[in-house]
Formats: sequence, C-alpha cells, structure tokens
Amino acid sequence: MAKYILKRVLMALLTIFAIASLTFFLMKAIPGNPFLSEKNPPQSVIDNLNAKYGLDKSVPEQYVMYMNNLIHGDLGVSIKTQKNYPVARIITEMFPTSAKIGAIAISWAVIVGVLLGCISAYYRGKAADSALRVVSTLGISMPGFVVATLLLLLLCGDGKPFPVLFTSTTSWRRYVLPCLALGFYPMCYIARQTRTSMLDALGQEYIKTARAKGLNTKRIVLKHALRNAFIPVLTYLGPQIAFTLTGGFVVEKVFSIPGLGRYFVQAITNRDYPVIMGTTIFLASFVIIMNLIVDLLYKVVDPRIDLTKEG
Amino acid sequence: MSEHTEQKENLLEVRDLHVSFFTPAGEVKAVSGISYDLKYDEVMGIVGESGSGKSQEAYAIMGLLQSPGKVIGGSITFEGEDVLSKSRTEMTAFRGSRAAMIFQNPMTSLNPVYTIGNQLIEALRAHDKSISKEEAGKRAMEMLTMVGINNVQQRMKQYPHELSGGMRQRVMIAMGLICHPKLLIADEPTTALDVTIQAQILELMKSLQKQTHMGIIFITHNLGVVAEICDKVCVMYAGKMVEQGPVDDIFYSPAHPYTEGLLRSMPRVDADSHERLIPIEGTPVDMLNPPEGCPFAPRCPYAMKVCLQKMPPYVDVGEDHRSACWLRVQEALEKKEGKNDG
Ligand SMILES: Nc1ncnc2c1ncn2[C@@H]1O[C@H](COP(=O)(O)OP(=O)(O)O)[C@@H](O)[C@H]1O
Ligand code: SF4
Ligand SMILES: [Mg+2]
Repeated sequence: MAKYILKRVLMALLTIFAIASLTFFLMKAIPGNPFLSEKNPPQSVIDNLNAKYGLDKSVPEQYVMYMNNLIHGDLGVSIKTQKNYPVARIITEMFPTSAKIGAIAISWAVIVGVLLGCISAYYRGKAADSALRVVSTLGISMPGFVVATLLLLLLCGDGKPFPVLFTSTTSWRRYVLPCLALGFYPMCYIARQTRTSMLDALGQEYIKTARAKGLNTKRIVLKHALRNAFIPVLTYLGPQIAFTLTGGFVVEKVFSIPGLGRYFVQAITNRDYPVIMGTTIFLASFVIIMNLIVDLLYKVVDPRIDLTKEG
Repeated sequence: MSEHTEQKENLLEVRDLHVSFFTPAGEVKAVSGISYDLKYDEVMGIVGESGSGKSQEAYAIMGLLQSPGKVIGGSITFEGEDVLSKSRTEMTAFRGSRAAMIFQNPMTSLNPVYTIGNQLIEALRAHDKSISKEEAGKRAMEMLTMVGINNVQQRMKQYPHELSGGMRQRVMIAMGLICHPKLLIADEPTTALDVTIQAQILELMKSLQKQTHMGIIFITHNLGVVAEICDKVCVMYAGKMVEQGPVDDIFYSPAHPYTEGLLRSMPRVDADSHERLIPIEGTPVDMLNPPEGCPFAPRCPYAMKVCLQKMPPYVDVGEDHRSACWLRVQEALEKKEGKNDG
C-alpha cells in the first residue's frame, strides 16, 4: 500500500511538472503583454517593467528561472492585478471561499443526486422516474451560466430572499444560490449515473439471493444494490470534487464571489503570468490529490480492487 | 417412497400451477399446469431443457417471480398454508426461514462487496431479530463447518472473490440452511461447476439432506444428477409436466418419448458402454407460439395425427407414475378393451 501511494505521488509530481511546462509555453505563446493597457505607456516604461520581472529574457531562460523558483517553493508575485503581492498568498486567501462553496455544492449534489437516482431506478418507467429524467437531462445539457443567471433573476434582489452580490452581506443566505447553481450539474449527472448503475445492480444475481434470504426491500436497495451502484459514481466524483471545489468561475462571476476561479480568469485576461502559473499548478495538484483520495476510497467500497496490481 | 413417509402429510402441494409472462409480443406461458406433492424428507428432481420453465416454477413457490411474470392459476400449499394468498410482508418472512433457494451461478450469487460473514449473519438476523451479532456469528461459523469449509474464522472475513466457485456454492448452501428451512430449492446448483466439484457439492447436499430431513427440489437439466440424489422426478417440457414418477421408474421404464430422449442423450457412467450419445433432434418450442396439442410433437419420432390436435391427458402408468402422451392413452385403451374381450 505504501509502495502504491509512493508510486502515485511520484507520478503526480511528474504530471504537475508536465502541466507546468505546457502551461508556461502556451501562456507565452498568447500574444499580449501585462503592461499594455488603454493608457498606452511609453516604450521605455514597458522595457523597465519587463526587465524588472525578467520578461526581457528569452522564453527558455524564463522557463528555467521559473522552474528553479518553483522547486524552491517560490511561486513569484503578481505583476498585474495586485502588484507585487505573492501568488501563494493570493491562492491561500482566495481558495477558501471557492472551496467552501464548492464543498457545500458537491455535498448536496451527491446526497440529492444519489437519492433521486435510487428513486428513479426503483420506480423505473413510472411518472416519478420520467419527471426526474427530464430534470436531470435538462440539468446536464444546460450551461452553468444559464442556471446561475436564472436563479439570479428569479430569486435575487429587492423583496426577494437572496442577495445579488455575494459580498453585500455576511448572512448565510449569500451561499444558497451559488451553491445551488454550482451543484446543479453534478447533481443531475450523479442522479443519472446512479439510476443507470442502480438498475444494473438491481438486475444482478446477488439481489435475487438477497430476496431469497427474506430481506426487505429497503435493505435490498440500500445495502445490497446501492453500495455496488455507487462504485461508478465514485469514479466520476474524483475529478468533479476537485473542479467544484476550485470554483466554477462562471458561478463566481455571476454572483461576484471573490473566489479563486474568478481571479484565475482575470489573471489570464491580464497576462498576469505568475498568477496564471501558480493557480494552474495549484489546481492541477488539487485535482490529482482528489483523484488519489478517491482511488483509495474505491478500495474501501469495492474489495475486489487490488490497487497494487494496477499501473 | 417407503410406507412410513407416505403417512406423513405433504410439505408442499402444487396443483395445476400456471405462470405467464405478459410481454408486448404476447403471453408467454412459462409454466402451464404442473402438479406434484413433496413430502417432508423427500427429494424431487425437476428436469427439462433450458427454457422449459423450471426456474419460474420455483420462483412462484418462493414469491420471487419478476414482473411481467405472474401466477395466473393453480395453487401452492406449504405445510397446509396457501402460499399464493400471503401478503408481501408474509412472503418476506417466509423466504429464507421456511423455504430457501440457491442458484446456478455461485460466482454472481453472492454480493461482491460484503464479506461472507456479513452475508451469512444477515440471513440469520433477517428472521431472528433477537439474536446477538456474536451469537449469529457463531451460528454462521457452525454452518460453514457443516458445509465442509475449514478455517471458518478466516473465511468469515473474506470476500466472495477470494473463494473458489465450489467454495462459494458451499457458502450459498450454508446461507440457505442457516435458518433451518423445511424446503430447499436448488436451481441447477452444480451446472456452473467443474465435474469434480459438481460431485462434491452433490455429495454434500445428499449428506445434509440426511442430517436435516428437509425437503429438496433439485432443478437440473442433467438426468445423471437426478439419479444421484432424487427420490422422484418431474420432467418438464415447454412449461408442461410431461412425466412424473419415482426415480427408478423414470430411469428403467420411462413413459414419455421426451424422457426417453433425455435418457439416450445422457452420458453414461459405466465406461465400457461406448454407445453413442443421441441428442434429441429439433429445436425447443417457441414459447410465444406454442403448438396446439402435444408440445413435443414437432420433435417426437412417434408423433401421430392426434398429437398435433390435442394435448394428451395424464395417464397413470404405474404407482405414482404419470405421463402425458397419446401412446400411453392408446395402451390404456387397448388394455381395457383386452380385458373386456377376455
Ligand atoms: N422476463 C421474461 N419475459 C418473458 N418471458 C420470460 C421471462 N423470463 C422467463 N420467461 C419465459 O419463461 C420460460 C421459462 O424460463 P425458465 O423457468 O427460466 O426456464 P428454465 O429454468 O427451465 O431454463 C422461458 O422460456 C421464457 O420464455
Ligand atoms: S403425445 Fe404424441 S407427440 Fe407427444 S410425446 Fe406422445 S407420441 Fe409424441
Ligand atoms: Mg433456470
């Protein structure tokens, strides 16, 4: 087991290195410069700034420099949005908000999704099933910003229960709509997945055995079928948890949430190179760690899986 | 069987049982008119090729029929109680405690994500809520020992995939018997196993039957297995019971062409007989459009005109030995006439 985890960590480091390198060169390939703006500063100012942040050197040289700093744990400073503010600090300040909303969103998505999936499977072909399937199909085909905007239009503003701006209040109410919007897609996806795998599980021989033993329906569905049906859902959850926790930037944008996702998009627009790099590496690491955790959880849910035997 | 068992009342009485599946393509008469008695302590084989309705017949007894399958006629009486009129809750309490069933494929019949111990204990506690976990665990280990599993303490903690097929079928048997049911239905319990393992499981079932005196319905498509373990046999073809009788009568004086065919196509145990196995020619009946008259007529070498028109009635051909074939009807008539003449 320890060997397996070590192997995975080494793989993870390699992956992060590859992602960092790729991002670096791609980022440099985007035309533009952090110091160009409407004010159109004189060339001499731009040259000075380029020199200050090492942008006057060749791209390979910059790459070596960045990687060297990265190995020493230095993510650099923002050169644009919050000038000279350390990227690491930006991440630690922005991430908790995104993570909190993401965690709430994914939690309700899993609970409600699995529940609806079970109901759908159990009442397969009946009205409840059809209704749930319409909703979930809609949910996974509707872009996130549509859901967010709809919620905003319907439930926010004067005389309505929720605030338009996330930062306008400290009440718990400000979390409700962003969490709803962010969790809606995964909830629908999980409901569909659960329905499919639940139907599959309910058709298995061991369910017949469970019925022949004289177990009641509740126990058959919740103990014998659900545990098996949850395995495919878990596969999906790994990356999805990471994506949701790192903040849907669309939802953050719509509700003006000061989260990492929104900040990341801003950084790209501004060509704030160190912030782009730092955030990318952070998010990639996060996704990889979540995947590792889910793979380990897999073993807990499904005893047949032998982690040590796989690549 | 012997006289003294005859005096006991019946454990199970099935009368003219009909099971149909109402599919979009039409009604499939999976079981049409099967009747038998099973005494306490008796082993009955149900034989017939795949699709002849053996499993559905058993599911009807256990209340395990899946929609769109329904019992549409007949009666099932278990220890004097009408099984078909039991409520859902009553059936849940009935299954596993008074009648148990094990299935063909031990590889898929156990839940892969729970330990053997968990699944055994659960079977017991489903019917005995007052029993403690420890006590249940002890009973589970006793059952495992009884079905010939060693290292039971360790086995309890193992998952199904860590056991061989034969071992899993033993676990299934242990699980079936843990509440001491009066009836065990074994649906092709050895079909998915290697020949040597098959023999071991059969041996085990025979010895368990002697110890527990339960009634067993042994479903198989292999007449050889029937000879090993059964007291009597019910032969099914296309959902109909074509012949029924004591095991010796079925083997030494079969009274239905389909049974004869089964016997001819059965691998012989005595090695020196190099007779060729003769498979029954023709294809099984299309259950959606079964022929009128005798279902076996399209494949029967003796088929007559009447066979295509009317289903033959049951004729007694010996003690507790009945057959549904027009040949037997003719013989019976001739015998009667002969008597009248003489
Ligand atoms: N779900 C179903 N829908 C329609 N027909 C079915 C269904 N399940 C079983 N049957 C019918 O019941 C018949 C008997 O099946 P079964 O009892 O499983 O056969 P056996 O156990 O003898 O192989 C099959 O030939 C099939 O036509
Ligand atoms: S009734 Fe006719 S067709 Fe059917 S088994 Fe007897 S002889 Fe053959
Ligand atoms: Mg069958």
